[in-house]
Formats: sequence, structure tokens, C-alpha cells
Amino acid sequence: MGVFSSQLRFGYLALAAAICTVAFLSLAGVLPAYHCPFATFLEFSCPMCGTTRAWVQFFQGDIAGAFSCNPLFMLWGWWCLVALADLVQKGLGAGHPTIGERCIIAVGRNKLLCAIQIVCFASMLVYVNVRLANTGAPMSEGSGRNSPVRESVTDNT
Amino acid sequence: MKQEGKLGGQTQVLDEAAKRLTTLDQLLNGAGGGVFPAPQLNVKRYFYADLNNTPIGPFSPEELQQNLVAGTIRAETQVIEEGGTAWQPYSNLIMQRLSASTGGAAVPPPPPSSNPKEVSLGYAILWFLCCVPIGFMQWGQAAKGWVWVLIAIVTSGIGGLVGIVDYWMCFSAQQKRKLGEWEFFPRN
Repeated sequence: MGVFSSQLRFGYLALAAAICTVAFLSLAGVLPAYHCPFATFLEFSCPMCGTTRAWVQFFQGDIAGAFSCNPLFMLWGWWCLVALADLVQKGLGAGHPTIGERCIIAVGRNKLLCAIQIVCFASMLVYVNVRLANTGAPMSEGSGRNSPVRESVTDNT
Repeated sequence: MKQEGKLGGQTQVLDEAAKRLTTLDQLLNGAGGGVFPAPQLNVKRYFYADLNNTPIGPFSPEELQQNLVAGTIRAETQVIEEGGTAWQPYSNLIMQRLSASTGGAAVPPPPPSSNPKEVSLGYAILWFLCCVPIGFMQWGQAAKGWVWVLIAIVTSGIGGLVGIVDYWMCFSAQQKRKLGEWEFFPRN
């Protein structure tokens, strides 16, 4: 008798595989342009704005361009990786607390880590929204290779 | 002797324990003084799942309690009634027995709004904007968070708006109760 049923575990692994596939296709520019709902419909950018594009540029070897898109793309990428590892761990039959739960509990208990996270969050929130106001377009808009925003940001860098 | 016809059901016999006379029928049926207490045939017995999820038992509730005191089992250890099909935490069994022993009235059920791991608004916003699946993970719905991410990507962001509504509803609901892992758009 496991914590998760075998069907659910298979579902977790299938979901993790789907995420990896979509992430790969997105980073490879195969998928159509992704429009962040925050920036597109709510007209403000979240701290992760530009992360997809930053990783695209990072994998293309353009480190400066990556940091220009989102200076904290590695931090948000780390949390995405934790969430993905959490999913895989559950798929492999691990019980609670999972790796993701351990991480958020650890950050929540550590005041310094918590403060760093909040400062990063707040500064990025201001930074990306100031850029949004100046350029008129969110940084994360258009993850495809030929998207106009990508070109405009590339021009900036 | 009764079966041999030597004694009738109404034959008076001396109940030594009660120091009084009673009929043979009353004596045999246990009526009028409870000379022969009815055996406890309906005592429930339970198995518990050990660390390897192997059923151990059966144990009477009293024996389970002794195991709890000895540290062999814990409140969250899964137990199942002999012949039953549904496992449940041992704490549920304790509550049921407590409720039964007090007539089901003295021990109030836990309030529906209780959730000891309630997430505050600040953390809910922080983690959602940092990483959506981590945000959902706060109330045990990380996999659902990933589903919303995929939906948002596939629908070019439109599905993300629906995800935001779901997130807000989940945040509101988790302040009052614990959410299921795949509970979408929960109401309070």
C-alpha cells in the first residue's frame, strides 16, 4: 500500500514527461508564441517575466542577453526545477513531505532566505514593470524565435 | 438435566451468587440478575499497516492503544477493521470510540474551518508569482499547478487567466479546510 496509487504515480510521471516536452519545444521555438496572461490581460508583469526568453538565450550562449531578459532567471528556474523534481519524486512513489514541500518549508522557516526571496521578488516586480511601462511590451511576450518582442529585446542587448 | 426432562423451565433454583431463588429459564438466559453475562462476540478487531505497509494484527482497540503508548503505531498510522475494506488513520478510530463512549454528544466534531497549515495571503501571492506550481504546492496541489502551466502555454496564456481564478478560489478555500490534490475551483 503506497502513499500514491500506481495509476496516480503513472499520471505524475506522464505529466512530468509532458512538461519536459513542452519546455523543450518552447525553448526550441517550435510552439506558438506564449502570451503571459498577467502582461497581456492584466497589464502588469510578474517577477518571472522574461524567464523563458532568458533561458532560450542562455542555451544559445548569450549570457548577457539572458540576464538582460530577467536577471533572476536562474532563481525562478531553480524553483521550476524543484517543482518538477517534486512531481517526479511523487511519480517514483515517495511520500510526504516531498522535495518541494521540504524546500518551501525550509525557506519559510529561514528568515534570511525568506527575506532574500521577498527582496528578489519585489525588486523584480518593480524592474519588469518599469521596463513594461518604458517599452510598452512585456518582456516575456513571445517565446518563439521570430516574435517581435524577442527581436526588440535582442536589439536592446 | 433440563434437556433430560428432570427439571422444568419454571423450576426454582438457588442462585448462590445473588443469594436468591430464581427460575431455571432466567438463570440460563441470564435474565433477572445477569448471572451469565453475554460473551462479547461483537468486539471489533483491527489491523494496522507497518512501515512496509504490511498489515499487522488483528488487535482489539485496547491493544492498539497499548501499541500507541509503546510507540509502535502513531495517530496517523493506517488501520483497517477485520473484514473491512477501507483503511483509515488511527486518529479517526480514536475519535469514533471517544464519540461512541460519550454517546456521540460530548465530543464536538472538529470545526469545518480548521486547517492548521493555512497559507497566508502574502505567501500565496509571493509563491504564485515566483513559480505557479510551487504556489499550488503550498496546499498540496503541485501537480495541478503544472497542469495549469501547460494549459496556459497551450492556450497562449488565455487558460492562465482561468488558472488565476482557480488559484484564488483554492487560496480562499484552504483557509477553511484542507483541499484535495485535484480539487478544481473549490467552494468554501
